[in-house]
Amino acid sequence: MSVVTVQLGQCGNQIGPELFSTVYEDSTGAGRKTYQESSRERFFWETSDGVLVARSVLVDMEPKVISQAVAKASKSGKWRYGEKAHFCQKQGSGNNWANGYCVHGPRHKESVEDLVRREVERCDRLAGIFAMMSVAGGTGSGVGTFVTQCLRDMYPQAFILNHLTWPYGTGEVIVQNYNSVLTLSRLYQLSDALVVHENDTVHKICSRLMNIKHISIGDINKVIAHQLGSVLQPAYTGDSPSNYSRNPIGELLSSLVCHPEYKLLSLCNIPQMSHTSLAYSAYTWPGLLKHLRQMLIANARMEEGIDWKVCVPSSRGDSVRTGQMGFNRSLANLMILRGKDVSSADAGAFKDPALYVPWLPPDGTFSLWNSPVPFNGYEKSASLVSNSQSLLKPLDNMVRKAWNMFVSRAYMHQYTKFGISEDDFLDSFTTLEQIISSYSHL
Amino acid sequence: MQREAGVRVREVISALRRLLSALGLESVPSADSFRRAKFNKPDSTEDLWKLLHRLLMKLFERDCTCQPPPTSPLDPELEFVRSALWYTGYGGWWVTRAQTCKSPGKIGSRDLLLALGWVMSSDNLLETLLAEKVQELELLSSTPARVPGGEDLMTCLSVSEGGGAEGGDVRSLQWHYGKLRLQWRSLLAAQQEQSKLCHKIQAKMFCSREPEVSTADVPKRSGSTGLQKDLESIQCLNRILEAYLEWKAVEPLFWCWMDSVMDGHLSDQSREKVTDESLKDRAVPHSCPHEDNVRKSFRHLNQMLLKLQTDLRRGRLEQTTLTFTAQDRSSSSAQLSPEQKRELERDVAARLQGLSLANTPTATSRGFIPNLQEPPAPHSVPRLRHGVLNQENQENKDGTTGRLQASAALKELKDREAVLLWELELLKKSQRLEMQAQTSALQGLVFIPPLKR
Amino acid sequence: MTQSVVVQVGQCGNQVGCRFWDLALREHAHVNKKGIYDEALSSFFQNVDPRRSDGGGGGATGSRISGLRARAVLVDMEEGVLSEVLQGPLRQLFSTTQLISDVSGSGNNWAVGHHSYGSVYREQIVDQVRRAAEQCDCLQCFFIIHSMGGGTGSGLGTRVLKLLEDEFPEVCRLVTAVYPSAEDDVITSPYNSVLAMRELTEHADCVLPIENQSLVDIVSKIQHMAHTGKPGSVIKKDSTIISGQGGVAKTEKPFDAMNNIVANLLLNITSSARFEGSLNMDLNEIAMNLVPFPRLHYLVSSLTPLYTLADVNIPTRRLDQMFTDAFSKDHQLMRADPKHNLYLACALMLRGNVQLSDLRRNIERLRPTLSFVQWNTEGWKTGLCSVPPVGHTHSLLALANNTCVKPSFMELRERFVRLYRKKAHLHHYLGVDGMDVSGFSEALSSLTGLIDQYSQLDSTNTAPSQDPPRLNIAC
Repeated sequence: MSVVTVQLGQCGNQIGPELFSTVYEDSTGAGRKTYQESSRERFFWETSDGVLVARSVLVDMEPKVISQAVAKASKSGKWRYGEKAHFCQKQGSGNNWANGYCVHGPRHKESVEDLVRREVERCDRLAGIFAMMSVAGGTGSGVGTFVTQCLRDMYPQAFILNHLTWPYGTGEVIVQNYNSVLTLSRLYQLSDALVVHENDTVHKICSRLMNIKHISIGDINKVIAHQLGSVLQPAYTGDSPSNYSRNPIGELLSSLVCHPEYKLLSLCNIPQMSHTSLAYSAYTWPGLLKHLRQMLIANARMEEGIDWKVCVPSSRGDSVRTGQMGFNRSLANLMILRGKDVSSADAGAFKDPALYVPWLPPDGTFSLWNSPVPFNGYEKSASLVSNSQSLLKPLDNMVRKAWNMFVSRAYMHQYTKFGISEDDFLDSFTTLEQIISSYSHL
Repeated sequence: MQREAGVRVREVISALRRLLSALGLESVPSADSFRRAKFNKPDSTEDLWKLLHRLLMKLFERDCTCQPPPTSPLDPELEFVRSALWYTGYGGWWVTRAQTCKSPGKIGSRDLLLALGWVMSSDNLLETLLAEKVQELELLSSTPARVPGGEDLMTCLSVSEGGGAEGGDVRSLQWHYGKLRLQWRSLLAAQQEQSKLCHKIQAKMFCSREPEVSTADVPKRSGSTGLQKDLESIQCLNRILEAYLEWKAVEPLFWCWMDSVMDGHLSDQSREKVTDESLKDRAVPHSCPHEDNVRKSFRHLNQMLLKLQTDLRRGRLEQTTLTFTAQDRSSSSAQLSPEQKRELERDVAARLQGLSLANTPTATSRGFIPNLQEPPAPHSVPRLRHGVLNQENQENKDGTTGRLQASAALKELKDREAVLLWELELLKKSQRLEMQAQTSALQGLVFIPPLKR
Repeated sequence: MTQSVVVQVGQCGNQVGCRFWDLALREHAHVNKKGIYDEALSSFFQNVDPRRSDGGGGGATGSRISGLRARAVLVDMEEGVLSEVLQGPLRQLFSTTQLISDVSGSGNNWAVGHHSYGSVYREQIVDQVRRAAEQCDCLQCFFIIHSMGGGTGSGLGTRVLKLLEDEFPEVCRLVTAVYPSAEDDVITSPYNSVLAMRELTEHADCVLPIENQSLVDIVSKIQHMAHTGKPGSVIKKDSTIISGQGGVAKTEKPFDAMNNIVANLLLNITSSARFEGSLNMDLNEIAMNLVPFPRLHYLVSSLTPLYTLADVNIPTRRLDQMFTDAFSKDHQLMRADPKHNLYLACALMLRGNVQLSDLRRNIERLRPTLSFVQWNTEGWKTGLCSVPPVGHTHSLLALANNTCVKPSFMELRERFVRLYRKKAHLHHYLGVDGMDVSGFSEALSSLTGLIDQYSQLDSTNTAPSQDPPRLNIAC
């Protein structure tokens, strides 16, 4: 049972190695044999001489980031990337989605497909494909979208989960909102679910919780890798309560994203802190879960600065009013608890039907996974994957900004040059407005 | 010549023994016990009795929840075997005449062997057991333990009605539909994994021609216990399939041998005076409430499950062939040529497919359902039943055997069961007598007991 | 890794170009201590066997440097500058075939450079460029350096631009154009500049306009501060931005200080494409992010730290000061004030020890003080390159697509119109084959159109900003 990761573009190829390092260190440090074996099988394969190789395909249109990633992995001495598992070109997509999607993607379709196919065939069972990319740039978003489309065609029944890094509200790429709109609208039709990390929120976690003075991209990526690892590492699930689940992505999807109009997943976890303060901290399950629940309903992505005034509306009529008060309604939530005394944790507070939409049966909205193995050095930790309104606001902002630009037709010539027309843009806008409307009317 | 036949019989019997033990029956009697039973030696009575009892237990234990009344003076084991045989339509003397036989020890080993042959031939015994085993093993690895049924949908519908949110019902239906699709894909993934493993085993066996080796030689690389477990179950399944195939190859010989047993029995019997005792003196002293609702709904669910699985497997077959062809492109390092591999893969897929298809209808024949496909001499059947039977036959032709037939028949015939059985028994008896007369008249003619269905 | 080819045209272009090659060698020598021909070096230099004349024979990337040759084509219609190059310390960088020259010059006449020489040398120039292109693994960008005032630079330079567009339509064309100051001694410079601008507007992907006057101001300001040594003011005695210290050339020539600034601009703009960084910014991303409408591709640049006026010894404050300076009027390489004009887009290219959080903090800090066009209020593009320029711990290059270029263009038009109204010197141009009077009127209307486009954008900013209505979804 294995997950094949596809790292796309600069962002994907920077987060990828962090994720593999995280799961490697976590599963090795835990000292639990079954856990380690299960995690190893999930993310790595072993060569005949016992070297662990990441089940990953690296794709970028320029060589620098990939060579950094490959070198970083080899330098660790613990695992490495496959010798022929990467594909790169010399010249990037220049932040242009159309260049990535219409030119680079089709041109290198076969090479990329071959790499993925080889990696998939190495698995006895493909638990899913995990494609990591940003939505802002040209390669991750444009080539990434194209590759996801190829994957969907190659494996129509496989679980495809995309991890998307949303750019800072300002200042990464000027055409980021265009690229995001084009990416999201297409991925929404291709992928089974989109797990989203916003750089802005992760940046805040780094500064406020991790106490990092000079935050680098590496710090941001480490936090993202930690959160992803806390979800993807082996756990006991509803379908597999006494063995580590052999179908983690399938179970994640069938508990969270059954409806085609609601595919956006946000991720938060608790506690998160610098390694130095970790040694002096003690947590109880009730305390952690109380915080996590408030984070959920008040839509806070970290434990600091939670608005404790937000509460669950007592009746349906209330929700309209409380909607303005910042109550975050969910469709479904999946909580993953890891660490000491995990079976004693009471997750009852997450089952409150008032947290969820009224049209889903109350027993189908909340799922709980757990593992007695402490994660990544945290004695107790809880992660929450949530299909809720939490991404509505950033999505709306993104679409608003892109629309403003589109109305003035700014930068359009850069896209029409490669064959993406105004009508294509309009289609994408329509799709996203539909998604916004669906999430607003939960 | 004689000697050669003896050797073959030994082979046949050991094939049967292997299959039975692969199907999970403990301490199957030795080939010699079988041979001795042919000659009605008393020392193999116990072995055969145990085998018959266990077999029938296996066949009926799931269905039968009832216990014989504690006041019954008779041996409960004997009672069970007798009633079970009764339901399969066996009419040996010790079944029909209860009071003549108070303990299993009194029954001749040949009688038991014949009963065994009867059960095997008339009730698809081996196939039923095989289907059960296969199902059991396959369920081990297919993940979604809970097959989402109508209940979920019902609750969701009622919730949405209660909620009254506009469009809520549609969304909730869409949600459930999506969930089903995702679970179906999970199942597909599990099945794909299984066929992939199966293929690996096959490839191994193809190379070594030594089925036992495959067990030890399976790559230990994948350490996960779950995978190991799956692997084991698949290997186990494989062993059973092997045993079954082996048995199928030699089965005709077995029936020939059974003929000779029958011959011996009949020639012995002809020496005794056949006394046709009153049939009022029936063997089944108390009626077993087998038609209780629990069992019925269980069977109903089981059938739905099987139907679902067959559909799934059909879908998966297409899928696997796709995967396999995709694999072939790159697997040049393996020892087998692509052609051989493809052939093997097709073989495995077809075998699984065939197995699943073959298993589906057998589920309906399990348990104490009167076997209605071959109605006993309709001329003596009262008019009322005529209509029902015709209807059923029609359904059979339409290929909708199973659910409808079983439930309708159960409902309709519940109160007339005893009469029907009585008629059936009567007919069987007369037929047997007639046959016996004919066979004894003609020399060199082989009497083959009625085959299944 | 991609490569770029530099085409330097005319006296100014070649002087700036040679400073660029000198400083590029200095930068690579500083980073690359082992003498290995690495990827970074390959972006502007070819590894050749010096014993062979055909320009081949050197090892591929990863092997030792046997001899470096600039990926460049040098064009001038006078002999002076190029023969200096051939005798100077940089001579080994170029083979004689890379140099294309004539003896008589263009006589400060755009038409002579563009039409006469353009037709005569067309084949030769294309041949040489193609040869340079063929030596590239993946040619990404042409850097064209020329002045706007003279005859050869503006005339032949813009002709080369058109040739490149025809021959290599896929390759990005980035023009560094040095604009004459108002007191320029070349009387026809307004004609030349406006005629050249039409070509730039139509055929370039990006233009980095640089005004001579700004360079003069910056250099004198630095020298003044260095000499007065005002207490508290901090300036490195030999700021590497203007000095060529450590380079191959030992003697400093009069314009070297100014040309070094332009050369540094080119080094910084390509740094992210050459060296590693946590936030790469490729050359093709510049046009993609900074050019919202095809004709509006004039980018105002500023380099910091050049000099500092405030006493900043605390590292973070010094860093923040670098950001503040990048937006001040005094640090622009054009006499323009982006801070008080409208931004269409802005790129910050950082080098050295700068973290993402420093970048975020300063963007947040500066954002309220700048006005952005309504549809691109957050139009920032950023790049982080880990290798700083020689002699600095960090540096910042800001590129702004800002309506502040408009006054300069209007002033240029003014000067053009003043001459054109009197038909002064017109006959020198009209006598050249291929040039007719419509060329002047068309060039003028092209410039006017450009100015109008900027004005239009300015006017949208005065209206109260309101989001345009979005698409509605019927529920």
